[in-house]
Amino acid sequence: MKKEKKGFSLLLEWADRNRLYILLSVILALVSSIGSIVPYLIFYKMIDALVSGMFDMQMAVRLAVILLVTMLIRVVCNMYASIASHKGAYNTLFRVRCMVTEHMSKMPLGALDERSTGEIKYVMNESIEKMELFLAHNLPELVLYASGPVIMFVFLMTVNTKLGLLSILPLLPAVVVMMLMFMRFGKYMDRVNASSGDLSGSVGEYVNGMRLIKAYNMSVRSFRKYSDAIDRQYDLWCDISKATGPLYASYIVLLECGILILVPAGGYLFVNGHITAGVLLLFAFIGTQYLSDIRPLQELSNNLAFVLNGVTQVKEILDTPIMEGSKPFPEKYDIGLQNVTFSYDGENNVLENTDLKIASGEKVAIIGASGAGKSTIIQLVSRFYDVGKGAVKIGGVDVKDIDYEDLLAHVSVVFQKSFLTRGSVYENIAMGMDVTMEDVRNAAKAAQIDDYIMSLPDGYDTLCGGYGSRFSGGQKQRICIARAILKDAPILLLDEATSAADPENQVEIDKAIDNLCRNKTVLIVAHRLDIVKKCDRIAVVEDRGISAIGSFDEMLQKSDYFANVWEQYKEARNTKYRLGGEV
Amino acid sequence: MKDRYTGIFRTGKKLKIAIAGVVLEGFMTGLNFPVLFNLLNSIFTDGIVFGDVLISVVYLTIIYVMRLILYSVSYTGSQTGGAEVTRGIRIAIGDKLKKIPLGIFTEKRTGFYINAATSETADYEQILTHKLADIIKYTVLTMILVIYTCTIHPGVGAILFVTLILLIPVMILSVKQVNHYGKAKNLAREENVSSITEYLTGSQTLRSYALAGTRNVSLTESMRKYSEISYRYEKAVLPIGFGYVYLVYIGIAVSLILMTNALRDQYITAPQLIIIMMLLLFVSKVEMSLYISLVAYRNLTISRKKIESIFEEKEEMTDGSELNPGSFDIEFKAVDFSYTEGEKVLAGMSFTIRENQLTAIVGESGSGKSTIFNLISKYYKPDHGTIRIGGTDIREISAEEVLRSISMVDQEVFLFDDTVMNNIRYARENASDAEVIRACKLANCHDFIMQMENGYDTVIGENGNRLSGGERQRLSIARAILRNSPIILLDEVTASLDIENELLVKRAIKNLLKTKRTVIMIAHTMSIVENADCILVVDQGKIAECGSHERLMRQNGKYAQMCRASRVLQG
Repeated sequence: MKKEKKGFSLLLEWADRNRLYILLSVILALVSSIGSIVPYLIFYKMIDALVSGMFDMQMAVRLAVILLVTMLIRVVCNMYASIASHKGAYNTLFRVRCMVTEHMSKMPLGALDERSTGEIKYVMNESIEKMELFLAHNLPELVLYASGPVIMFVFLMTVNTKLGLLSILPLLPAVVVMMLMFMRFGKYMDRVNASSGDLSGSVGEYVNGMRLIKAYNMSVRSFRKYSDAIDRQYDLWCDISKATGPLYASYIVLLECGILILVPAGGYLFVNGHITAGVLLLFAFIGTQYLSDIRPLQELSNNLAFVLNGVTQVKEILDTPIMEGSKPFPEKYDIGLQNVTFSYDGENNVLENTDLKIASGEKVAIIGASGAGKSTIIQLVSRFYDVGKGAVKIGGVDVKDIDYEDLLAHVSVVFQKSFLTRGSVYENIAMGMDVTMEDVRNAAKAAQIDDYIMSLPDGYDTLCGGYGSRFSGGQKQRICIARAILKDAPILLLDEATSAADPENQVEIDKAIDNLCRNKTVLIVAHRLDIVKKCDRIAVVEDRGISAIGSFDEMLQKSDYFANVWEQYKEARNTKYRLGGEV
Repeated sequence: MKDRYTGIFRTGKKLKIAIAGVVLEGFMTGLNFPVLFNLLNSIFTDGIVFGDVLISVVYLTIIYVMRLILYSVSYTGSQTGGAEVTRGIRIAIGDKLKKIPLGIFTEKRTGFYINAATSETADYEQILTHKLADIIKYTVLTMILVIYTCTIHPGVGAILFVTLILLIPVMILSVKQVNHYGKAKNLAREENVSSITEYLTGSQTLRSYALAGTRNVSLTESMRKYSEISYRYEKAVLPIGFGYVYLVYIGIAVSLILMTNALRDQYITAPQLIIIMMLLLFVSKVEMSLYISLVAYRNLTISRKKIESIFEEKEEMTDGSELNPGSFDIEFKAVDFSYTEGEKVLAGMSFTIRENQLTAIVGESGSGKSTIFNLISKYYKPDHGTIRIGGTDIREISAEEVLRSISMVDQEVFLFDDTVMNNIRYARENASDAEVIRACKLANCHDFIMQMENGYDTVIGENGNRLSGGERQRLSIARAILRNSPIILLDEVTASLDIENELLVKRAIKNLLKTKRTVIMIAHTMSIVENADCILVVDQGKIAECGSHERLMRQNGKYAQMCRASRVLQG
């Protein structure tokens, strides 16, 4: 079995061919790193020549030319390392974003709903964007910062072994101090997490609740709550700064303590004739500096944790199982739920051993208390979720066995909330289908919206993200209905909109729905009861199943729930407000 | 108004001392060079003994220990000093927000405020605690080394100075590139974010029309474009820094030739040549760090600008008049209003609402019904015309004073992260538990509250996520009952509820309406308004008709038409 990849190797796998860019960048960064020793090499050669009196203009020019040429190579390598890594990184970002959207399109919608849209948006925008940081910056920088000192160390070792070894001595106290710093900081970790949650919570409540705060005259008190959270944050960071600040500062300075070892040791060797002046000065100068170059590595480690987190989040999405099935959509359109058990969370069953049969061409309304599972039934038929036990069948074929795209092509779903893209009205009705303007207008006419669209200055070219953002709820709804009319799928699942439309608009919507339902097998989740009279049968969802099903008159007789709700409905419809009465 | 806040970005005394400490520490790093220069001199005069080396080591150790202490103290000081500035900015933002007109608190803008008070402020702190000190330190250090070099070889000193000065045009160029390509990048990013948001909100629909995944060309295109523009941005900005680095090396090469020349002419000594080469190599590194710090500094000033924009917002201005407590008539006189310029929502709207009456507002969606509420509560100011409550122009009264007399019952119910009991009690601070419970019973909340794990003591989490729409509306009615304010603005949104909830909310509203007061109700269903004292029919930003149900039916206009449509719906 293939070993499952994780973390950065997984990220590189996602990069696919773009790995070549990253690899190129790393190689160029290495070359540049090797080039960084040249100025010091020149410096050291120059001193030795000076001491021995061999230094002249000719040598100076030669050294200057070497410096300019190698530095040109180095700078160019460095630049192209960055360019290549960015190219690779942004290509990879695009690739990963496509992978995620593609995978999401095959995931059960239920699995998408479980993660909030906010979470997925965060992954798509922020987490994936952070990968750029790793691929374009951190990876070449890692090579640069880590290899630079190593190459310098090797160079110094070739110059003089004893001094070379001494030159890395400062690492020891520096690392000890850094560990100490991390340990101290670790103790504050819980407080840091709690405090930042506290801060964003308090700020959020203060800002979002401002209207109510003013209305209830709570300004003083709310402001105190807000400022207390800020004070707590301040106190925490002061404590942390006092505990870790001196350690961090010491760590930085300790990396440069080599001078205190190398000058006496080098001086001793030089006085006793073991090394040349060039070697002494090289170590006195460079030996104090090169370790500081590893400083950015510590900042890098923070980023890496962040990037890894993003990779894991993306992996979680990509690991969600996708829907399969290969049978074509059946010729018959009757719908059946057979012994269906379903639960959203794996614990509380919404439906238990539920049976329901809808004949081809029948129009059935589903009613029930909120949360009883009305919408669940249409979610199961359209495979937004899959049943736990039992089966949902269309034309006798289990929906799980039907090719998912073929299933979607034959089922229209009209949702509670109208969704319009930012594109034109035409695009919003045609939705990528192969249709003519005439088809679109006919659908719009059937949906009672053509007149309105034609009255707009731009007609069907009106952008729904621009002018169309002013469409009323009822108008948007009718555009969505026009879209479904045009699709003309044999099965229609309708989750009735609950948003308020004014009466005249609602009359139009009802006409549009009538036109949409014609000659189809229809399942309507009814939130208002107006619509049930138009249906062939009414099913009540109650106690994790269908408690009763029948025609309107039958149901008034046989379902207590329905009779009761019908009474409530009549009372609600007849409510007329009047001011006054008893206090 | 702005003046009051300009001080907040200023670095405190503590921070200034800390920065001075960091700069001094940088200066002391430079002191290593004279010590090494002495050592060099003794090497070249051939008289070096180990004692000379030891003396150097003593000096170096003194410098080193002083640096260690100085840096520890000032680094810590800059951290705490930065935290202090952050706290000051955050408090000032909170203070400022209290004074901004409520209409500005739209969903998008509140997100901006929250961000400014949290992450933007933290970013700004970075400028202060890290970048600012570094930039001053590197600049001062380089300047000192330039002067020192000048005393040995003015030509080389000049070259060194030029490489430092070159940072100015380099920065200007880089800012220009960043602005130019950054704008395109930001646009592409915004487009990318909206495409993704759109894709996710519509994923169910898009999927059923075979527009999901990579088949959604507009999404894929916007993602590709964003990646491409991001890359082009980097490619345009990157060469500037590298070009500068190379210029610095050219300076070093030229200096080497110049100094060799001077050495030949015995204008400088060999140790001088060596120390200057050391300095040049050292400064080249410092200048690169300086460049990187400057770029980072410039990026972080964006945060400062965002924060500043909050303080530039206009404040609400009133002269502190109070409402006339005797009368709560509400009058609109020729009121014009638009949310975005050129799109009038209200156009010359005039009406008078009598106190202690139930006034209903009906009209098509988008006709401007809820705008009337927004104007009465002073969330927005009218562009033209006057609004009076009890004869007082509300322009002269603060929003708090107006809101004190108003209870708003609508779909948006904000809940604090507190217990149910306290959340209701906020409506009237001195209410007893019994009074809160009575209000909840009248509002049909009592039963579902008692079903929560701790009843009235249950803490409602983040804005009451677990509550249904109907439950939230009833909580809002309970608040209004407890509050007992003289004016009630009621957005009757029961049409969006299921039947059981609709009836419960309607019964709760009936209880709320038992007390006589000024009630304005936006109605979405026609039947409920039949008994209202007065009905205002809004059409295209104006009052089209007004009067009682009977009168309007006789008039046979817009209202009668809506009633007929409503009857068709009821079958």
